[in-house]
Amino acid sequence: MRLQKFISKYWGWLFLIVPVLLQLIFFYVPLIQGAFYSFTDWTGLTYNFHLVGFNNYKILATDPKFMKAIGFTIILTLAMIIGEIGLGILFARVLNAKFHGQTFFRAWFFFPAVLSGLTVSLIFKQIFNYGLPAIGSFFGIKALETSLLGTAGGAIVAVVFVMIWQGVAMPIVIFLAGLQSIPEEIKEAARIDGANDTTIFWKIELPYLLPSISIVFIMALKGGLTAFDQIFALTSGGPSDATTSLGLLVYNYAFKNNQYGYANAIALVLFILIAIISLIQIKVSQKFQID
Amino acid sequence: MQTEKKTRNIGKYILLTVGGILILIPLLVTVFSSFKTTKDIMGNFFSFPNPGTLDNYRRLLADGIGGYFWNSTVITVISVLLVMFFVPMAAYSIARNISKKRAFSLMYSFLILGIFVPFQVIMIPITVMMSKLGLANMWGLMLLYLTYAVPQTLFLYVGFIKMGVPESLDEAAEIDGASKITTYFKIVFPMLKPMHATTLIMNALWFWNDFMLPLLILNKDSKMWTLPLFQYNYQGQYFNDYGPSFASYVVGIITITIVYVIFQKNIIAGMSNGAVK
Repeated sequence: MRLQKFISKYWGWLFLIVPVLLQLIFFYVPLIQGAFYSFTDWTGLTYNFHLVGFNNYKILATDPKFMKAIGFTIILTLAMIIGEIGLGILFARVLNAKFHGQTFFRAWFFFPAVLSGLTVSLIFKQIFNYGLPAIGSFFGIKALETSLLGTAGGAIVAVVFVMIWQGVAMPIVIFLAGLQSIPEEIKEAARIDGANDTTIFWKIELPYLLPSISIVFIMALKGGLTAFDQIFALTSGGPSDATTSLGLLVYNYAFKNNQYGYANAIALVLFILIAIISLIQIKVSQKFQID
Repeated sequence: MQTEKKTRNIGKYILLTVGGILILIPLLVTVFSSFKTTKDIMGNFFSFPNPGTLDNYRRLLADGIGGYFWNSTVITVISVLLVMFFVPMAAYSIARNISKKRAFSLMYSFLILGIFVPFQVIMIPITVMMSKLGLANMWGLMLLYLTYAVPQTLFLYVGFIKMGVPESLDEAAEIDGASKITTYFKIVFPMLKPMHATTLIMNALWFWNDFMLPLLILNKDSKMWTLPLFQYNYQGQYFNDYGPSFASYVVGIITITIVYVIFQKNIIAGMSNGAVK
């Protein structure tokens, strides 16, 4: 009886307690530790470390590896944003038309989204190493005869290709839903008034797609800034750090160079970037709340 | 006008075909290669297996693929069940109390803050912590999955409960003498079915495909490897012998494909719902 009374009084907290404790232990504690370590010279090998103030952040500003990683991360992120929005809308429009096998094609184009990014990248690694050179020598295309992953430019192209190959699947479905929310009468009326497909796209479809575009924009932005699995498997960040993203750089500094403190400083910079973007995301999705 | 429409239609079919083939080729190459000898893979990359061989799969079995498959399955299933048990319950508590008590609105912010934090920020401390606590194993990994699934999943459930489960239902049940626990399990939980489908798919795919957390938590002990972690280490180990690696990719892809074919509609809807909100 007393237990029942206790439950009816405190049920709200009882229902919450497990997630709250877990977040506290496995999220907030490491979050604070991470921020703290970023002001130390901890190597991770021993438990000795010194507070070094903002020293790690000062080194960061002149670290060529960090600059290179920022550069590559920006290229990757921009390519993903443009690729996922452009190709996403293109394929969504094609898949929105009525034709035979529509259901099959929709399912087929979404399929890459359910695969493991790691597995996909390991497969493409073999294609870039053995498949493309085979095509290159068959057609006599010099540029393809050696592995794409061997040169800096080629490796960047390869990473971008794989990220978009898999990353565009979800945007297609999101844009498709956006296109389907357009009332058919509006397009009918425009056609009667003599509008062609191009006008309909720019004047009707695109405005309706704006909320979807903002969602995909944020998705691609976050995906690019934190990219890890695919690059780790495909190029390990090479050749000579040409494809090392910020996410991979944190990992490398921590677990390969044993610079836990310094790596955490990079992670914190990444955090600030994402925090700003997430705040924008919230504002935007509040504005475009559809359902 | 007619011809213009026709050329446009042809254009559409060309796009569909090119896109479709671009998706198909890597998958087809993987399946073919898994039945080829390494010499055949390197010599005729795009060819049909000739002669076909099952050696790669035999080798994969001998190298313990069954165990890694089992690890991935156990981790995914238990983690998803944990999420489905704890998170909707917490969401219910938040949704009902947030407008009445300030503490709950604080708790809500506390629980969903993780959405804004990239994993890299806690990557190093959590790796150190898990090994210190003796949790660098499958159980520790499941706890982490439960923890890191909370922000996004909770956010989805709270929104759904506020919109779709009217409080008058609770009150009616309570007048009939039901306790909060009975009300939640008998009335509220079943009403969350559409959201269960979304969160189940979203989280199960994440746990099954995830590479980073297993890499950080389980890499030291090969007995505990998940399928993606095994695939990664396997291709590194057999540096010049690609057949068995391709077979290991097929095992991962086939599993997902079977699930995808059965639940295709739910998966597409579930994943895009999860992403949009």
